[in-house]
Amino acid sequence: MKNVMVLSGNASAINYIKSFADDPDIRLHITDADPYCPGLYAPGVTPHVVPYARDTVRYRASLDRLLIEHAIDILIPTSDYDIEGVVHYLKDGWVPNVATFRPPFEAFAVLRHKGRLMAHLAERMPLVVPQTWIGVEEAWQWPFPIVIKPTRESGGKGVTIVRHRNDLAAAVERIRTRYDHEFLVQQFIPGNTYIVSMIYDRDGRLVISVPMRSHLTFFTWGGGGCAGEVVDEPGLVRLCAEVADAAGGWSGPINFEWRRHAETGAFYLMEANCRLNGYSYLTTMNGVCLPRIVLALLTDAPLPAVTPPARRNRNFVLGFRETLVDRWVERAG
Amino acid sequence: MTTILALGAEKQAATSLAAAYPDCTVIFASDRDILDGSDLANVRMVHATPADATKLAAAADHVVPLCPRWLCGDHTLSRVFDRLERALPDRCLPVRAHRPSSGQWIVKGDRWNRPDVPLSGDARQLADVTDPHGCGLVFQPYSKTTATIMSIGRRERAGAVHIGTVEVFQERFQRDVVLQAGETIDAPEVLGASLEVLDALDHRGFFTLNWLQTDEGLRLSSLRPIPRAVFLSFLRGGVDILRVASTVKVVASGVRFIAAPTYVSYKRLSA
Repeated sequence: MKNVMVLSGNASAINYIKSFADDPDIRLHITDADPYCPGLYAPGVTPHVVPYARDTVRYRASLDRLLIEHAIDILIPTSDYDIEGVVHYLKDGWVPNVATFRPPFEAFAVLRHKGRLMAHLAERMPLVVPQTWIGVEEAWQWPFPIVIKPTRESGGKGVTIVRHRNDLAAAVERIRTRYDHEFLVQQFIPGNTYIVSMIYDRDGRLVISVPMRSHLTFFTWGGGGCAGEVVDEPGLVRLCAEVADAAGGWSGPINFEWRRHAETGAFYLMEANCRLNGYSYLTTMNGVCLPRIVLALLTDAPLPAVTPPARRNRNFVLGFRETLVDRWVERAG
Repeated sequence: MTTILALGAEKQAATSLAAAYPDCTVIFASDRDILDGSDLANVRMVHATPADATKLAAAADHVVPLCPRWLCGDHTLSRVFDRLERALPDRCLPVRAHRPSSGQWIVKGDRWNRPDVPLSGDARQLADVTDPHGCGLVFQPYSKTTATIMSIGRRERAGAVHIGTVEVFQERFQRDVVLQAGETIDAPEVLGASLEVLDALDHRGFFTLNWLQTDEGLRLSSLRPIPRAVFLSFLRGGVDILRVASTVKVVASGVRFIAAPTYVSYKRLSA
């Protein structure tokens, strides 16, 4: 019996939960700061409500306690905040007695921050970088429409598409109120959203990449996908591997979000997320169980078989279904 | 077999309805191409537009509108709140058709919910807000709240109402708004105020009233002529809102629910 702890109970954690919860050889622990997070109520999981990962001192103390109390063998962070916390703790010398990925901190610092990532790639891979501006001093020369987005959020949070110059002041005012100066401005790329989910082993070797395309987005203007399919795009996979290499290499799961220009067909990088993507369960539906690959790499077990690309034909739509629960999970202590 | 027609089945409430009534055929009608629910054995999907609603309804035993776009008549927030501000001035937050020049405001859809994340701020921060979806825009004072409570149900006439009060712990604001977690509660003040509002309007049919607990007390912030994704919870709480009410029947407190993410394959409706 392995004790596996997945940090966060939403988005990509749902893939881990659906992949592991029925396994008699796994006791699956799910943590989240939100007591109403759906993953905490999935059948077969042991739920834990923890402090927000941004509350770093309390979060780390809570994590340390849970790891010991439940004799956790394997630790898998799945939300941006959890990963940020864990990566920083590891950099500061945290040595938990668990199997977990230890990605290079310098690469994480580049990949996690959209502004840094775009600046880092501007010379190395200029063809995949949308025109990007920090600050609004050069607004007079921008080709509208443009996109204003926070540098450290994902999934479309805080994003505004500004179609006309006259609308710029209001959009900037709004984003500054919430994110201060932590935002950037980018050329708007019309077209479809693509995601490539990848897993690197503990030595930084690429194990698998699965490209996907969104058919429907969470927001009417775009953002993360809530319907889509697996696609065969070897050129895009190569671009992702080049981006990861350019950032300094990787270890563990990661995904890259792209827009394919509707007119030119060129791929432009939107962001990197240092985890599986929110709808990575699509890959499991198609016989490519990324959580099982993560687990195999962390336990030095043989990699599970996957279906060949030509047979990955199932699409998906995400729904949110009313589900009755007996009681709310309470915060420990 | 009983047939239920769900109009605007792209909304979360559609699968709630289908799961709550597994012995009925539930027809999901939508003008959106991609819908959740194809794995539910009692669901049939049809591509339709609001103009088709009357024709589709003729063949159904029950018709459940899940989005006001599919309803005839004027159910706009501006009209409803104009009437309420005169009838029950202390019960509701005002609704304004034009962006006020001072204060903090939230932008809402007038005819139906404005898609995507709610926008709020002062006049400068809202200066770029437009209406690409055609829902109409209204502005409401932005209030700090300590709780959000919904009254959901169906009213036939005064004294004939099926109703439940739900404390909403979390909503997700996406293309469509998702009720993420809630619990039915025993809230006499909310229940009384809800019946008072419905009577003042003589509202007939389904409803969702959104109440905010503010420093100034309980204030109504929205009234839409549709139910939300609580059909299973309400049945568990002893109330079937598809049945015609003859008295005031209230959903029992203590029914808890979340929205569980599900992934199913789909076929495009227009294909």
